[in-house]
Amino acid sequence: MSKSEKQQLAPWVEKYRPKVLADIVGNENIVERLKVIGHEGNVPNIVLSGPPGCGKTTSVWALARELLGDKVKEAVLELNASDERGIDVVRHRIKTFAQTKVTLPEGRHKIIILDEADSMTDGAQQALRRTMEMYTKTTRFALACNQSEKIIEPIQSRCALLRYTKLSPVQLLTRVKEVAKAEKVNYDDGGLEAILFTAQGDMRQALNNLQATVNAYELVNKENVLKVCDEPHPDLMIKMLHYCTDRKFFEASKIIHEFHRLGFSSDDIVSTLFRVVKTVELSKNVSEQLRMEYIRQIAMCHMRIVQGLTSKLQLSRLIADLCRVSAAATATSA
Amino acid sequence: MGSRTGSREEHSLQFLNLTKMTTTTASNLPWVEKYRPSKLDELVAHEQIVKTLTKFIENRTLPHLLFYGPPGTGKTTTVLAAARQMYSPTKMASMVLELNASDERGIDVVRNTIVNFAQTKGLQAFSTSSNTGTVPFKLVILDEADAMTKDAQNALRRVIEKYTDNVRFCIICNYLASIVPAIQSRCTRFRFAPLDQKLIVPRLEYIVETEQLKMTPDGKDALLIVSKGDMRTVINTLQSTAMSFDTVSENTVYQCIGQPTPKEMKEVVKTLLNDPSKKCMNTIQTKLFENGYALQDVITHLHDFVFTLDIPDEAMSAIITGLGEVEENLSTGCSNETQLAAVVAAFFEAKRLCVKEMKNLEIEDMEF
Repeated sequence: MSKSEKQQLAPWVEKYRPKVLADIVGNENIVERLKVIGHEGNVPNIVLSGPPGCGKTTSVWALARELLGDKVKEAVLELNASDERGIDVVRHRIKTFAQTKVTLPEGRHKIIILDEADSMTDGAQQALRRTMEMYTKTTRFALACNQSEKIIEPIQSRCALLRYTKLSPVQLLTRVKEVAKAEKVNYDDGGLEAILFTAQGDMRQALNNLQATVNAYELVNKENVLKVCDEPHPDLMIKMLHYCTDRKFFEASKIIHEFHRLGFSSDDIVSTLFRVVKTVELSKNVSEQLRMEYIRQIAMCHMRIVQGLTSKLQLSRLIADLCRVSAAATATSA
Repeated sequence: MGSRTGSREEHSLQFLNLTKMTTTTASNLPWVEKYRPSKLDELVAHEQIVKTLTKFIENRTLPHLLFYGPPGTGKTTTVLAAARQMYSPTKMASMVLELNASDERGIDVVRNTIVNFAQTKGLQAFSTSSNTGTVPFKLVILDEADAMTKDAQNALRRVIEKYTDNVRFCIICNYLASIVPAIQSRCTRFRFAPLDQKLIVPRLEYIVETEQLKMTPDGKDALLIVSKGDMRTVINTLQSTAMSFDTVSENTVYQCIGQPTPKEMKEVVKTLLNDPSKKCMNTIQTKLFENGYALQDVITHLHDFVFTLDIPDEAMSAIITGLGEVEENLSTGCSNETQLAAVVAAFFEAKRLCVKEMKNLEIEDMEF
């Protein structure tokens, strides 16, 4: 199979993954710092933490390529959670690699990438401490993780911490449009807006959803995206909230029951409801105080769901609670 | 079994050919397996998902998949049917790795079994004579992924990306929340909604006819109601009812599953809305508890029934709040008897609100 044919078959998230730092979308400050390091060398030990799909692994590999060029295969060791993460790995494999001599230009170092480092055992992390110091002249470490608090403090103190954030809608939109153009996709503004809503700052999810929609339909519009990505429909959520504000319990319950009938899990329904209450401009009847009360009731319901109460009755109870706080707000303002 | 009819024998032979079973006759299989679709175009639901999958397969651009949804909605059936469409029968064994809850789900499975499978290419990827329709990657099916430990899921994160050229993953679970966000991010999600009744009915009638059962119209309605869109439940309930009774009717279906019948619930609600509290308690005790129903089941049915009542929103809301609190209390271990009193109290609060509403109406009449 030719290389171009193989690339043609790859999912878009891999086909369009940036190879160089300049192509990375989002987290500009971090990328700028990495560019300077890539140009000047002497990379510090770094910890990259952040949510899924914001470019951590892509950044590390792009940096390694810029620093090491064609020596990237022999001068970079990548370990991840699917490999051994125990103390023996640090004692043997990492040390062996760190001790290996690779001829590199001035200011260039071997790099050990520990991907998904939050999965490392504490013992392995402890053993890593001394290794990082002993071989610092020749080898630098890059740790990627979703939760930086799972990296032990002594390791964090030996590293520069780069904290990645979710991508903003504008950043996602730029990249999604580029890919859509390259793949000759038919889309309208509503469709891309729906892609961004379902992706929630995750570039990988956005591209996956775009590709899925394109495979199912000729046109990427709001209706088709929401069909394929299949989230509780935000417009119906808003309508339901209006019924709650007007204390129309029966009508509001019918909508949340419909979500339940369609098979959305209670967790998904409540999570989407939270996002809608948080981000969507509700009617003027909803004061900021009432919005906060809504969020509080949703949080209480979410707690019950996490504890295992995922029944339809608890969703109805949430609607009853929202109607009750609306009634209380009305009584207060009267 | 009795003597076979022509259609039964013909169907059995067809089924045997399809599954290549030589030691088990079709009549010994549970009906959920006997009637499981084996091709994508045989699936009775999820037209959008099937259409998308078919296109992915034709274009050979299958992404990593995440199938989630309630039980019995066709998740496993769909991915197995898709696998049969991608690979010839002789290639299935070497090109598809299926792991499920009966296998180990710990981190070692990801380190060893899955990585070993993912690191290698299928033999036909190197074949110079392979046709353009050949799918070049292998498939890993992780069924019941909710049961995977968090460590195992985390270990899977990089594997999914690193071996994309060699292998694609299909992860199947009931609740999206039980899959770590990093895995969700790497997959294209497909939600399997409960089946519409109009999609279940033809299949149900086909099975009834094939198995030569007697089913009344209210029995069919009862099956559809208790299933809540779960095809597996429909077929299992049908089979157990048919084996326990001569006729599948509303009464026999509810007896078989051990739930209160609509008539019983109607009587209970009537009592709750009209009688003194002591009589309410006694009625529920004798009619429901002594028949073996759990208070949790009673509450679930009361919840559905309440929305059919013609009462003010405020009263309806009060009942729902009360029932919700009772369910929460039951889940933390409170006794049925104590919580039964809370159910009765919720209905009495609703009655008070109804009376209050009526008095408000009278006042308005006077003013007018």
